[in-house]
Amino acid sequence: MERRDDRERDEVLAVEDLSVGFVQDETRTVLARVSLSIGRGETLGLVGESGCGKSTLGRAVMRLLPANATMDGRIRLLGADVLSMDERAMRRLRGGAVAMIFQNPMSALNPVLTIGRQITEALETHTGLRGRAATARAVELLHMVGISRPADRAHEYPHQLSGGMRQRAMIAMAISCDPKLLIADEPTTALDVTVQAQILDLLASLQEKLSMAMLFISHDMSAVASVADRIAVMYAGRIVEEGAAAPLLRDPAHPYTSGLLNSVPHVDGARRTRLQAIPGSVSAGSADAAGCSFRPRCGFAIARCAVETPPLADIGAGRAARCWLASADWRPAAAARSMAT
Amino acid sequence: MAILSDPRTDQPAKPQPTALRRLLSRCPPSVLAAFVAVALVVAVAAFGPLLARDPTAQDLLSVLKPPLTQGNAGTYLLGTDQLGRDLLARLVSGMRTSLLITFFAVLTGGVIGTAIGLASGYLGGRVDNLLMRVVDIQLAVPGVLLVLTLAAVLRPGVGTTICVLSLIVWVVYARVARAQVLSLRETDLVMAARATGCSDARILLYHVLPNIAGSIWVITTLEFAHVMIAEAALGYLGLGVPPPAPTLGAMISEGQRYLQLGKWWLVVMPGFVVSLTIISINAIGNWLRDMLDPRSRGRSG
Repeated sequence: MERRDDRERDEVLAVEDLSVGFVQDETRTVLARVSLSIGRGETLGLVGESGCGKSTLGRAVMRLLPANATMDGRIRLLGADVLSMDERAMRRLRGGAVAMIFQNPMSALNPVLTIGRQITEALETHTGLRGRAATARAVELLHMVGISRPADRAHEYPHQLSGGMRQRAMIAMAISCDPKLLIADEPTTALDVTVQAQILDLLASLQEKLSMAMLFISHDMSAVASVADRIAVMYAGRIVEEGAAAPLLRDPAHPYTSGLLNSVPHVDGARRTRLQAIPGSVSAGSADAAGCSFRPRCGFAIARCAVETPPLADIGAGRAARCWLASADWRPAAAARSMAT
Repeated sequence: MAILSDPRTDQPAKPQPTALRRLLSRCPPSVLAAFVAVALVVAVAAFGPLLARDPTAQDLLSVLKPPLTQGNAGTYLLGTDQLGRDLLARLVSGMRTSLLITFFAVLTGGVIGTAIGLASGYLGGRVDNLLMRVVDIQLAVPGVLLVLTLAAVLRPGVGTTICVLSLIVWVVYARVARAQVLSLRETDLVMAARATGCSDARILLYHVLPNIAGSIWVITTLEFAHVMIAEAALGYLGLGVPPPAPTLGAMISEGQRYLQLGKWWLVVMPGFVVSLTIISINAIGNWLRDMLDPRSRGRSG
């Protein structure tokens, strides 16, 4: 809230104080007052471990959460208030102004419809295109996402394509109606590394060509590093650090971000250094507990961390971190070094 | 499938052979035989009654005659029954009635049952609870008993028989469709369809239904056989289409009294037609199920 001044620009998505809970016997908080915004053509990388709520956030933006979810706060998508929208208007938005791609294209594509048919379906839902015109556009889209012999491929079924091809087809579907925002939910996780790089390149080039914004959700730091303009790190339903991609990656301010970066293997790094795992795991429902939710796993925790939940505070240079220690000149990496000596 | 050739793309699409020809080219001989048998049965049921004698005309001088007997009205190719009626004429006419009833009963029950199952599974909650309890209640009552009671209460006729038989069919479809939808509903497939802005109806029709079509086909072939037997049973018990109009079931029922006297043809002829139809339809159904699923279409696919 402190850093809103420069965000009133060309915003595609603005999430304000969004809380999401799932009701099952009792309410379990999955997101606790999350705020973020994405500008036109910008890519926001959303990182965090499995179960930290990043996919829930992506789905909440499109209101695709199951019926037992409760949502509180505000989501503005291209100026429209998502949470108060009726279902019909929401449907027009989904796949139109905002599209989504999924982790596993094999299970997200319809196995009994051809690729071409699935793209034309999206076109029929949102644009006036029908019949031959729609088919021609589908072939053009397949061509755009780098599928060779697109006219033939349009007649094939998902199981006849390779994993990378499927994800390309999925992307073709997503961009078919010129979305202003693309939500990519772990789009490269199910692919092997060389294909990952191709898909990331493709996403970046399409983004430029279509000037669309992207919410890139991933647990893979290196994938996020290669596409994101800004990065938001999530832990247990809260954003713990946010800032421009390069400084955040070079010089993380939150112990969790630092831990995430330390647990990524480097090819060029010293061969014998051990990777540092973050001890413990995201405990269930920890967004509800008092104090910093990362405290049980944090090597720098002080007494204050157990009683008071830290705010997402400005630490200068357009960055923010949710840590009592973080400031313009405290960094976990440096602190760890001085603790060791 | 439309033939695509787009000037912007690398090369023109290969012309696609027609769907029917592709299906038939992958058809094993047993299925081909089944197709021929079903086509024959349908053709005979459709056109046979136009060519055969009057199925109710009696020739009391040639009662219970074996096949190929000469009588007043010429040669009785399949013999005559206890009232001297031409068995071939009765068989052909009975086939028409039985097939019509079975077809429409399965169609009605199948469409209604599938629709209810889809809605029930997809909407969930109270709707699902209510519909599934209705199904449970009906399944708790033995199907034959239900059908017999209704058939006995209502005015007998072709329409009544269709309605009564579709009653035993719809529950099967509703159950299977619901179970399949329940597992599909939670998949990325439905999530992705929703994320493209599909309405619920569209998701059910375009994304869920094609994915459960295989199971629907299988139960259709099973239910076709099931209903055909049930129809025969109704006729056998005298609760189906009232006499003198012949149905296959009624013919078997009347004929079995003369089995001990050695008049085998009265039972064997209609029995053979029933078995042939059911076996052939089952064979076609099994094969179709594999063909309809693009994943199991296999080698040449």
